[in-house]
Amino acid sequence: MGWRVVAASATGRAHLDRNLPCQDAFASTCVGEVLVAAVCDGAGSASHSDAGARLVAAQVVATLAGQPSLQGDPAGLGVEAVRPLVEGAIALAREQLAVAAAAQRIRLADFACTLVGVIANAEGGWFFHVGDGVAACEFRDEALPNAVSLPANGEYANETWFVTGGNWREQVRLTRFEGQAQAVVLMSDGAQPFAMNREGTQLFQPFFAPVQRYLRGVDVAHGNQALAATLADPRTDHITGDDKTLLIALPD
Amino acid sequence: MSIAAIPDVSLVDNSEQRTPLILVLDSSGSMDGAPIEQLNAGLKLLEQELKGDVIAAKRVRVLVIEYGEMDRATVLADWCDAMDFTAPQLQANGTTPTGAAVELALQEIENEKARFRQAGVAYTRPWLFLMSDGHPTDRWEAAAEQCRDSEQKNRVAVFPIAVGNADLRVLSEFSRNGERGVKQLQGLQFKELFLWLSASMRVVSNSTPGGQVQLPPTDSWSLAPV
Repeated sequence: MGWRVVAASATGRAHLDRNLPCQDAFASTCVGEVLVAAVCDGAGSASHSDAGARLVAAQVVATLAGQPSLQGDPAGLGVEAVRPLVEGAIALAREQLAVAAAAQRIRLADFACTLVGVIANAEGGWFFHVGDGVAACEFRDEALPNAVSLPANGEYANETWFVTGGNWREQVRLTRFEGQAQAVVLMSDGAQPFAMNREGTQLFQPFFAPVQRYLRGVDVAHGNQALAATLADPRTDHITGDDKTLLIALPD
Repeated sequence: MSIAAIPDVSLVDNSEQRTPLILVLDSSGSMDGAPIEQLNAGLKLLEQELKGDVIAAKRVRVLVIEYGEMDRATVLADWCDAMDFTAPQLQANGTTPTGAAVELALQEIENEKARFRQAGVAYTRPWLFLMSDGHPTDRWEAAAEQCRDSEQKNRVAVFPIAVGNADLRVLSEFSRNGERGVKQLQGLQFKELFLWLSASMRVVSNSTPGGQVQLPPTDSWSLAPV
């Protein structure tokens, strides 16, 4: 059993108005029954954060997808097995950012971005997380609450942690989840105000249920475009000026 | 053919992020005449500009303190969302109790943050906007130190604005950036100043993680460009 992955980013109104690029990025792949996916949100204050987000998302997914021990049953692994692999994947991405920074004569911090990702089969797995954004798993058993990895901020809502930060290892958070997955969702913080509920702890069903229902009825290419159009809906401009990214993985 | 958005999707704002803005305004006697009129017009402009931005209108929280009379600092307009903010009319008279005004402001900021935390509302770093056209008439040194310390500890961002004959050295004591932190108003460009402030508030209230935001340039109203 594999996964169908639908994903899209929409550039936020504040970025469109200032001719800034979309600083969100996503990447995903399936290795057998295991989904590996990530969403990165480039820092608004960092000059090359769009490139940083793209590189980190792609690199972390590629590295983790190449780890034989993560194949099969990720939820069966303990944190002591998962943490070194996730930290190793981030460390490798940071090395590549450092090389790119040196070549372009900029600082590593100019690539600052957050990271939220997942390694899972349809019976569960692990979320990994640095900074904000949200990861959630909706279970087939509707009585179960979503498993979530919540954003980590400093005191202020517009300050968070980045993979480029000096203390990044302390900021890597891992969350194990187990159960028959109905959908796994990753999002950047721009999508959070309308995709999560008021408490910010569960998927907001008036948004998510019609999206999921629709995506189940169309192919991936169509789904990607419909999701992109939904995230670019002018109504979202009243909610956030930030880039909005959603990655929705449905077990086939 | 392009594919339309997914139908029947609810798109509402479930977040409750707030951006506190506290204005500490000198209404001492020396502000009488054109300065206070321009300041009042600037406040009205701030009200309109914030209300004109859908996100800033619901996220920015405003409180206005005036200081003057006989060394009195008064909350002239209590905390409210920008959409409910009505610019107060200041009247110039009296002395310049800068110290008392800043102490009151710092206290109001911490009280507001405590309410946010209790309600589980996320917030951005509060802005303290300190405007003066003179020299303090009260014991301001301890308040300045407290203000610098608060800024150093990242509890608040302080923007001292010097008008006319304001004592730059004294104002600089309220900012952790010293004299670099003080902006000097060009003539009576209050309109430009408050346009800048509302534009900055739009940026900050719309902001999401990044640690820093790119603020608009201040050269339309400031003598010392950033």
